[in-house]
Amino acid sequence: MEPTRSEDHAIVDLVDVLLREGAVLQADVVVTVADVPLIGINLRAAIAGMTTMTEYGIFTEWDEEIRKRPERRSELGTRPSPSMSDDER
Amino acid sequence: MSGAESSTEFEEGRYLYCAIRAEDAPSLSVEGIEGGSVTVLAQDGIGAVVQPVESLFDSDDLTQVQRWLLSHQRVVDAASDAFGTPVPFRFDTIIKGDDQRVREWIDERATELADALDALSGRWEYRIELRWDENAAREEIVAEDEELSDLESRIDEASEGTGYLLEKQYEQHLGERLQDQRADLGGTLYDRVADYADAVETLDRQTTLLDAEGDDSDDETLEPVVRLSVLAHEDDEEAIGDVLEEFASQPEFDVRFTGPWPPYSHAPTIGNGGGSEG
Repeated sequence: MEPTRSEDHAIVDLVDVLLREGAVLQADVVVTVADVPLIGINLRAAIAGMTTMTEYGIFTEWDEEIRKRPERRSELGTRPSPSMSDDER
Repeated sequence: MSGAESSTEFEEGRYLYCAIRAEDAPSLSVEGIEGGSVTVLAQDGIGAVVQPVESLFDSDDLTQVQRWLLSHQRVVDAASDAFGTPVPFRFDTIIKGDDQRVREWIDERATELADALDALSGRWEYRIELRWDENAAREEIVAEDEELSDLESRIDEASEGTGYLLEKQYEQHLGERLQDQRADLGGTLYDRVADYADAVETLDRQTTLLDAEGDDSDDETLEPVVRLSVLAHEDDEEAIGDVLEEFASQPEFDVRFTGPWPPYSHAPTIGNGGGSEG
C-alpha cells in the first residue's frame, strides 16, 4: 500500500495540517496568525467548503502538479462488508 | 484586520514558507501566494524561503483562503523537491522587516534551525486513518456479548420504567465495548507503525472537515477508528505501507494513507525562550 496525495481526503489532510501545524516561531520579529481568532474562524469555514472545490475547478492546476510527481497510487478498494467473518474475537 | 493587536501590524514583512539547507542563495522557480515572488535567503548554510508581504493573508472570501493554502503548499513542495525535507512553517507566518532582517533572524536561530533540519532530514509526515463499519462492529458485539444478551432479555420482561433504565445501561455497555475495540485496534496499529517511525501521534478521530460538515457523505457507514500522524524516514515508507496493507486487506477495514507531506505536525517551535511574548 502506497501513500497518496491525489485524492480528496489527502487534500483534507493537507488543509487540516497546514492550518493547525507547522513550525511555530516565537520572537518579536514574527507575526503569526494561527492563534488569532479572526482568521481562525474564516479558515474553519474555509475547510467546510473544501469538498466543493474540485467541482469548481480550483484544484485543476493543483491536480496537474500532483500528477506530475512520481506516480503514487493507492491500492485501496477494500470495502467493509455488512457482516464480519473474522472469528478472532 | 479590525481590532488587530499591535503585534500583527507591520509595513514591510517576509512571509516565511519554510527553512531549508542552502549554501549560496539558490533560486526557486515557483509562484508564491497571490502570484508573489518567492526567494531563498541564505545565511550560515540555512535558507529561508520567503515572499515579500505588506499585510497578513486574511479574508472572508473562502475561495481565496483555499487558494492561498494550496499556493502555500505548492511553494513548500517546490522547496522540498529542490532542497530535501524542509522545516515547514505554519500558514501566515511572517517575519517583520526586510531581507536583511530575515538573514539576521536565521543567524540568531541558526543552531535551532540546523538541529531541526538535521532531525527531519529524509523524513516526512504521513497520515493514516483506519476506518471500520461501525454498525457491523456493533452488531458483532451484540451477537457475542453475554452481558448484553442478558440485559436484552431483562429489558423484554421489565416494566416501562425499569426497561428504560436497563436500556440506558445496555447502550452504555455497548458503547464501552465499542470503545474498547477501537482502543485495541488503534493501539495495535499504533504499535505496528511505530516500529518503523520516528514519531507517531494520535489525532482527533474527526478531521476538521468532517466536524464542519457534520457528515461523511461519500462513505455511508464508515467511521474512523483511529487517526495517526507519523514522522518516518522515506526509506521506511514501504514497510509502513505493508503494515497498512494487512489492515486494508481485511474486509471490515478501510485504510487511508496520505503523504509524503512536509513534516508540519512534527516541526519544532523555533525561538522558544528567546521571545518576549507571553
